Amino acid sequence: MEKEFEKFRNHNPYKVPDGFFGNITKQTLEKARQRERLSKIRKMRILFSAAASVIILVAVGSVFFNQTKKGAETALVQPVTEEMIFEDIQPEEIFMTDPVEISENEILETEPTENVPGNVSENLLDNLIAGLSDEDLQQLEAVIQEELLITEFLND
Amino acid sequence: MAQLTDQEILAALKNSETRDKGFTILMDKYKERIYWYIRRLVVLHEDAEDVLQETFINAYRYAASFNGQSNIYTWLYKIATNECIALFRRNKKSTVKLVEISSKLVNELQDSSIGNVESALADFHAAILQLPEKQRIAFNLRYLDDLSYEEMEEIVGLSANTLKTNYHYAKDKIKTYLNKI
Repeated sequence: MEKEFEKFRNHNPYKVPDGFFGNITKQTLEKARQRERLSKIRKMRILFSAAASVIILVAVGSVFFNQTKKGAETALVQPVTEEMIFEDIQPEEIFMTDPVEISENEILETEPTENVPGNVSENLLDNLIAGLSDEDLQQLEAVIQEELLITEFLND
Repeated sequence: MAQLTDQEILAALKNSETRDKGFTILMDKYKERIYWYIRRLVVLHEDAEDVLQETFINAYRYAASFNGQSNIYTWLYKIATNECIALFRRNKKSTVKLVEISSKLVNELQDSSIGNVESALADFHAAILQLPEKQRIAFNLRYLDDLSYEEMEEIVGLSANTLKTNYHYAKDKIKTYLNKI
């Protein structure tokens, strides 16, 4: 049976475009190099993203830690407020004082306080930026620049 | 310049300074042999070209992890076989059945055959394309590429006995196919 096939062993029914084997090595080498470069860029990108995430986490964490610490210190030296005084006064003592009349105009003229809901996010952002040290800001700037460079390189 | 041995080519490929030169020598030495192996499996030149390039790109990228215990050409055959199987799987997803793929390949072969090619030769290759995937690979490696069962074991990852069985089934099926026409 194999003898029957023997006449086909060294013959091919397929055709190859002219010059195919002459060019294919160079083309493949170029593709292999390109693939290698892309693979390296991807690895670097993952590495930078991980590093950036860690830096941002540390920066934000330190800001919150500092704020919490400041808050605790402020609470310790906080001046006595009106509310705190009223907490200590007995109900009978309140009726002993003359009631103060407040006109409607006086209420309207009152300035909005910092704790109005609309101002909260702005204040938080201001506090976050104010809480970052020069070193933190420099690190963040470096990370952003690296990301921009990688994106620019990939787009090219 | 004296022709380098496979070990010397591999050493050049693993060295970052001589990597590109090593790759060029490796590809120039084996591209035709590997191309024809791929072409007989996938039929279309465009597919064969893609698979050939992927095979050598993988060799370029992963040469450092090749331990050199087997022949470099069996390693290339192994990568090429895996790439062909991956192509079959992709085609299978789009065209559903292997039988359909095989009949499509047969049609492609008949279309791409040039007029002066003996029709018996075209029938022989059409018969190979009718075979199931494993038998087709076993027959190509054993009969057309003249590899030993030990080498085939390394390439396909099946035992020599399984490969022998596949090869004999393939031969019988080709004989039956050729007798029918």
